[in-house]
Amino acid sequence: MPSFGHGTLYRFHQELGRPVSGTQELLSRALGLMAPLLRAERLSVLSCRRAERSLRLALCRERGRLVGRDETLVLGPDAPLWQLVEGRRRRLCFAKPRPLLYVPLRWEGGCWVLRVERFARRPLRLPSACGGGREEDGRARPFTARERVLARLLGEELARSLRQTLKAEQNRSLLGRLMELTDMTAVFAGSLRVEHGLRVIAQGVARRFGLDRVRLYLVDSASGVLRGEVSVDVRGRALSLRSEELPLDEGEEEGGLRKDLFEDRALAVPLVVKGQRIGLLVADNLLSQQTLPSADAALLKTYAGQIALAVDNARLFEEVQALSLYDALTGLPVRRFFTQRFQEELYRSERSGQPVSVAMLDIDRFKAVNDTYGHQTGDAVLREVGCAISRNLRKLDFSARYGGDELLVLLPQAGPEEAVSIMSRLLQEIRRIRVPVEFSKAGWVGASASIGLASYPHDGRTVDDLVRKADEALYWVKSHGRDGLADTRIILNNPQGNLL
Amino acid sequence: MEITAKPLAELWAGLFQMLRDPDAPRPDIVAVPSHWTPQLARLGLLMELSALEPAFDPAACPAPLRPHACPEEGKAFSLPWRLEAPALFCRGDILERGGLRPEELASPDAFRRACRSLGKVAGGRALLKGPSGSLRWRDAAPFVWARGGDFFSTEGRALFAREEALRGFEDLFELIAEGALVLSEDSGLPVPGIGEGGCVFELGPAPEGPYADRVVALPFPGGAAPLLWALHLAVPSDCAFPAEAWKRVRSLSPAPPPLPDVRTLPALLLAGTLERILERALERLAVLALGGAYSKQGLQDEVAHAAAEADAVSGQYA
Repeated sequence: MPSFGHGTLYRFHQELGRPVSGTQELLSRALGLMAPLLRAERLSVLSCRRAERSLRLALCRERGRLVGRDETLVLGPDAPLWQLVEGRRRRLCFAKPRPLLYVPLRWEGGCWVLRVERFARRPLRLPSACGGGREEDGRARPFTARERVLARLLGEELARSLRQTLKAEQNRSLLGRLMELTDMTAVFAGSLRVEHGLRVIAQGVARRFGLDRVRLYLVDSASGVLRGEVSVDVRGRALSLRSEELPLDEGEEEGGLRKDLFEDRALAVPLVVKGQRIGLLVADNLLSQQTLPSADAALLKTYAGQIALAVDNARLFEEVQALSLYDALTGLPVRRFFTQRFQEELYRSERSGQPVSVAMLDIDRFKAVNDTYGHQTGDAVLREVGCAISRNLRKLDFSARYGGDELLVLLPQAGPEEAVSIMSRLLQEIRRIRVPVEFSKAGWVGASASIGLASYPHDGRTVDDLVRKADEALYWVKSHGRDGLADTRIILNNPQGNLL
Repeated sequence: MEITAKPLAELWAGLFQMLRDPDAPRPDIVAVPSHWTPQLARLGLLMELSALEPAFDPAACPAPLRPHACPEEGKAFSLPWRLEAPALFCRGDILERGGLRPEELASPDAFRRACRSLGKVAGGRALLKGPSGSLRWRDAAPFVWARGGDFFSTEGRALFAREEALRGFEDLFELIAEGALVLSEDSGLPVPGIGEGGCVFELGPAPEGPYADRVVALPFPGGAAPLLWALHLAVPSDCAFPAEAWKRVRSLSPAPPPLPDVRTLPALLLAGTLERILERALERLAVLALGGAYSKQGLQDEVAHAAAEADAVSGQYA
């Protein structure tokens, strides 16, 4: 066996053992060290894709420079190069068209290939001052037996380092993803609004996993479909997906994806909490056509449990919040919610200079209804009045149950005249209410209401002032025969009576 | 000035990295295959060139490449840099030895027959030099067009699973399976060019080398116009120095050469994506052809699968 200088392999081993940032740096360093040892002009490392039976250029170093090139060798099963990959050959050496040596970089479960090349030097005519003639004969020296063995030994050393680096890179990437995902979980676990939480999830998943598109659907139990919530595109922009619906049942096309077509470029992950499906996360790289690495797909599937929990938490929070903000009997917001909204509306009016009015409504002789026909009938009357309010107000109006049989209505962008007009219509509607009561003479009980109005800025500039003024107007109506409405102008101009 | 050369697959991945990560380092100028421009412009990755110089006239771009450079009327997003219009060349002396005349190769079938009969007189040379690197859309185009087939409609609907296109693919992969079209030598190196005596036919630029004087140009079988393939220069939309980048693009973009009757890959809004789907199928078929596992049924299945995927992706991003 040919011998080498004592230190050659040891120095190579030591140099490769120094820390590297990744495969590229390792290969670049190794090829740099090999070039003078093997007297090679060009050294290339080709990664192997066994399934496609092809070799793809990973890194090429030519005369001291790294060169980027598109090179894929698709090989036949009996091609000498494929025999080398499969271990049917130890190395592959060519003398023509130029000296060329292939060495396998083999480790358990993997094999890349090292290619060593020497170029035929171009004949160079020397100037006559130098004696003329040709410097080179145009042929490069073939690889000697010693160089072939050295190349094999260097290749074995490189394969060991390559395996470790690839493994370390894989672990580092996985660890990085896990840490990022942990951070992300903390962010969206703290997000208590479903809409915001979903956007954070979709954007986080798209960015961390480098995806072209992420879509989130939630189960709509009432209509038995998966309803689109949010879609995040390749630039991280979130778009509403509300118009999209998917069937709930799983099948070949889950998440609108053709599994048979898109293979490893798309993934649909069900979101499940306590065995119950609450939604679906659909991730794809259809635009870039890049493969979703299987490690990432597995991580995303594992992570789907965390996402499902976060989504469920946010949903529960919204449900609890809704329960605390809305009156169970009338379905109208409660006083606390109304006050908050009223304050916001006042700020808006201060900025825009637009008026805002508030109406306080009291159901006439409600106590008598309760006492005569029972609380169930009283509740029914209250519910009907609530429905009439919801049906007859403008989209921007906001009503609430103030307490007992008193209700409040906020009328943004409505001055005193418009407020009177809106509430007059409502009053007419309330008069039409008929709640069936079997044991009454008429077979039903009707309803009427007294309404007091106050407007910003005429009657006050704060929530308390305006509600108090509306309350004063309401009591004025109640003391003047009920079933009507009044505002502060009426009280001032017509203190003796005569409802509007 | 720093120049980074990247293989196309890596360039494609790099462009998507730029889209996904606004903090990723980005160049001031990118060189991309011309037919990617509409998709990259739609994704908001490229700057509109007329916005950089209002006086710039998009009509300065050569007419065949204008649909690539100007996906919207009057708005250019890239300018030609490197143009290639490969012709079909043949070793006249070998053709003569085989008793054939150039005009006898006018149809795709005649060309296939010539490849079979010339095998005996080719002296061990490859008959047709394959592309260096992987089999790409541009390599398959002359075969498909020669049979009157096409790849995509103007709306991006896949046409390459239709009969004419399938016959073109058949020509290509049967030549590979028969060993007439050689993708790479046993050494893994590309087949030497026709000018160097490495093959009988070559689809490429005008040959150079000791055998160049024995080479004759042939019309494309089936009378198909040659493919014009171009690399275009563009300025990324978040370029830090757009004015300087634009100045450089203008200086690097050559005056339009007189272009013969040529054909280009279609200007599609998803051209890059659809190209990757098609090329994946081509790669799988090449593996089958090289492994002796090629069959017409296998070709039809693979092409139909790719066409269905292309249509499904187009549908998702319509």
